[in-house]
Amino acid sequence: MKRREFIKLSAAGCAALGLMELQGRGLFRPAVSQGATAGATPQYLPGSLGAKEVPSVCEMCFWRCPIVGKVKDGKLVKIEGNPKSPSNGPRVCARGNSGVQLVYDPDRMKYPMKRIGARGEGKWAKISWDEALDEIVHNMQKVKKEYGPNAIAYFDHGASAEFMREIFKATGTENYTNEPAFFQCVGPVAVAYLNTAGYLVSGTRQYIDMGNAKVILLVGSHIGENVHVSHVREFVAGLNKGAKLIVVDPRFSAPANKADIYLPIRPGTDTALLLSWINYVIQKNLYDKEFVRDHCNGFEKLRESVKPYTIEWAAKICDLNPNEMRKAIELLAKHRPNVAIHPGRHSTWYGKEDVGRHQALAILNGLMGAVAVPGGIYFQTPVKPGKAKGMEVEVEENTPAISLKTEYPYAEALGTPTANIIKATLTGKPYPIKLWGINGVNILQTIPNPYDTMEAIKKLDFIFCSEMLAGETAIWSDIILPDATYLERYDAIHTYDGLTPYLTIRQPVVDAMFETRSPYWVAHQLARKMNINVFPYEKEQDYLNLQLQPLGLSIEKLNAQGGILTFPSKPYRSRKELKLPTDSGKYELYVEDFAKNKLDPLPKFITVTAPPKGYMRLVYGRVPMHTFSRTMNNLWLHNEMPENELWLNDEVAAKIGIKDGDIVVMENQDGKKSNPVKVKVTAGMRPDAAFLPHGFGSKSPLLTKAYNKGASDQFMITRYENDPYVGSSSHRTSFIRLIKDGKTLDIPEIRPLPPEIPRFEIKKTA
Amino acid sequence: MDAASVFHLLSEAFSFPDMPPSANEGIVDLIAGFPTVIESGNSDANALANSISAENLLELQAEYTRLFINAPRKTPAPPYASVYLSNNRRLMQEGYDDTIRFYLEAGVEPLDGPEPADHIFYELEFVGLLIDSGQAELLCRFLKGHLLKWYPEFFGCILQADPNPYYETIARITMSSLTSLEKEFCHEGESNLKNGGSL
Ligand code: SF4
Repeated sequence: MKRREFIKLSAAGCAALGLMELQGRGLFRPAVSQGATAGATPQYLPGSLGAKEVPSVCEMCFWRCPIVGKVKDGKLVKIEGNPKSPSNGPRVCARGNSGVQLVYDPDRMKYPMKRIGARGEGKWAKISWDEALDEIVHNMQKVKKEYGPNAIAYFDHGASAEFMREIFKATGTENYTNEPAFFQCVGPVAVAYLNTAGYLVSGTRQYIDMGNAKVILLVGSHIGENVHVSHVREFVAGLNKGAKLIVVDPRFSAPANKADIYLPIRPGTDTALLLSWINYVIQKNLYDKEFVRDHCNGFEKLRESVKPYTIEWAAKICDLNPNEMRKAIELLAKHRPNVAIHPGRHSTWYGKEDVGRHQALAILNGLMGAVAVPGGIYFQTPVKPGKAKGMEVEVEENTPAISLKTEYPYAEALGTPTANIIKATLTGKPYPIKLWGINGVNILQTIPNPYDTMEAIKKLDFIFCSEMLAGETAIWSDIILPDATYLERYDAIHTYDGLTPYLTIRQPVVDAMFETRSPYWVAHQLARKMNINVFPYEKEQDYLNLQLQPLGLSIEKLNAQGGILTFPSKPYRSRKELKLPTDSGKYELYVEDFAKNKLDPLPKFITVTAPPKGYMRLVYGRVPMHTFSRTMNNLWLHNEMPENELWLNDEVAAKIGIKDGDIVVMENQDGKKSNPVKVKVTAGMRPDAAFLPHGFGSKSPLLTKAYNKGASDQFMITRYENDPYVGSSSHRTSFIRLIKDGKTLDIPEIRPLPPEIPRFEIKKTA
Repeated sequence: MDAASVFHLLSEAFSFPDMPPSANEGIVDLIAGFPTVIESGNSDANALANSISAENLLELQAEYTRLFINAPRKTPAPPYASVYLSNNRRLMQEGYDDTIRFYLEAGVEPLDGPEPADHIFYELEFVGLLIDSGQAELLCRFLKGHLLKWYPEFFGCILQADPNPYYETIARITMSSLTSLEKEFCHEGESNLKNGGSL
């Protein structure tokens, strides 16, 4: 710069201003409250020492461990487990720890945004909250007027999405709860256990007493790789006390490594194994006769229907050693009823047979009498806070004449199958869908065939989302609302009804950054703007205090006692007092209600098509450092695991000339190709399947760290089937082969396929 | 234009635009006052005039959003000291604490805003206030010990993001003004400032 350009340095310059004359733009004020900013806490105390502790609840995953946030000078410096918590105590997992990074991520969504460029281009301008919400209200009203209420659909997940659900409910749409989590995850297991045991043995939580079990059976569940702190602790406690472990998994998973009996099953045949075990315990009289006689319905029908399923037959189907299979079931039966047959959680594997597979697990559980006894499935101990009026919209339940739920009898109560919403949006049939709201879920990394989802989005008049970090969905949205993180807001009261019941609340550990807002605030504003009679409370504290009141508590009092109130649990019942919460009060080995709905009342072996020649099945799973596709941009977690690796069987690898660490591209049965991904060559993977940790290969350029790191399983899952009970979408029905250095490599068949299992046929396009 | 005004205006230019710069006399004057800086840039006068014109407010807002708030691939230039002065590209870390310490030493504190107080517009405003009040010694420490430790990197990030001519110009004027301020007053002539001297 030339001197003449800098015309003159201030003339005001008398050094007498101890207190500045604060002219200029008015961004500063004289410092009066020095204590409120840096310097208040002695800086010489290192790390989190001397920090203020605020109790709250983690939401780095849905398990929701109680935590304390350690705050220094208004900044969150560390997260620990709440030592008063009976479930996790002072512990959090790696992800729980890394919440600090979520709050201070410069890539987080900071302001409401409006799309300026083409949809999917990612060109936005910051707008005001008023403008953003008005835009949403305007479009909801317009779409409803033009196409009717059902043209509006809401994809929701987690605590952040619950308040806004009421707004959608109030529009009159039938599509107000379509938790992708339900239709891509727990739907089948929930339906199976609700109809067998009468309660939700596995939903968000799994009520399975592994800590007191003598034998633990895991079918596909890789506890320890999917980490939910108290669940893993119970698993480890059980093993520590000497529980034997049986693991059924095509992959030598972390728990397989600890197993007494490991069964490397052919993918798609788990039900065959379970049915043969059911038959075996009946034939050999190894089941709990007293429990079956006094507490079960349908035993005779079950006995008849499983007769064809012998161990020898199943051994061939499942490609397992029949002696090992017998050893496993005998071990389980020997220790009944104190055996933990894990119900599973993520259950949308193969489509048609998913409910039956979990029904078979539930039946085996019943035959072992492992119900409401130590080690078995146990009853919840509900914790009941008080009520605050006006927190829910009253709507008459009326299924429209044309409904997206009718073909699935068990969808009715649970929401609209996501696959149907996407189809209706794409085709306009049976009715058009023109507006989507998305909250707390990355639909492109969660729902099979994201290519269809993207096409569907193009057909919408309007799409908006609520996001903390910009996932793929944000790029496609017309309006983005910036969510306060779970560390910056209140939510609903949080209760735990498992073995260590408690009540706690999520509360802000630090002030919300930028113009991010809490989900309640957003829903409250929308309700005002749309004249919906709900959420009468100005602030979250108001309804929370009302809900705490009957317990003799307030937020303040709860905090004074460490943020948690614990209760005694009643998980077990004596056989005399045992009554199942089914209509009959009995454990339903045969589900009458399924029969009424023209569905199989008993589980059957339904073949799952095997990979076409030259392909292998793609399976996926969780890793301890990440939650779904949500955490890949988190600095700490990214450092721990920046990308995923494709597990490939060593014999297959040798035959096709792939070495550990080689980079390949996957190509699926529909010709879709993945990002390049590193191969992990291992004997711990069956030759007819490959395994890919879920959630990587983000397609969102907004996620600076996660973008294009590793490969996405979801973008390979383009083929799915819907289960006939709930309409959930299968995730393990896509097949891959590999491309290395531009050359397509067919996968050799190392374990021959029995003739009973048909292969999937790839349609040749002319 | 006096130096304090230059920094107050630069602070304004680094805030989210709610009117076209062409409607802001101060900013028009500011840009006009730095012809050589503009010449050294990549964009010609026409392009610059076009990007600050009234019709383009929405485009300008989109550009500000892209550069400084959120954008595909990544937010190219998060405008916070902490992002550059902390070892892990995070908000609210050491770089932020550092800023706050300077403010408190000067006897001021930032008004609570949606932006963290180590946003570039706070820091440029603070420079203006220090000039206004003639706190030369503190100004020099702030420049050398803080702002000039991160602004050049931030400036580099802006240039790398292929900014529009307006933000390129503002970023260049800021770079140039900060270095001359430091050069002129923190080496040879601290007394200049104390005496209210002009250049
Ligand atoms: S398991 Fe980990 S991420 Fe999930 S709630 Fe607990 S601490 Fe948080």
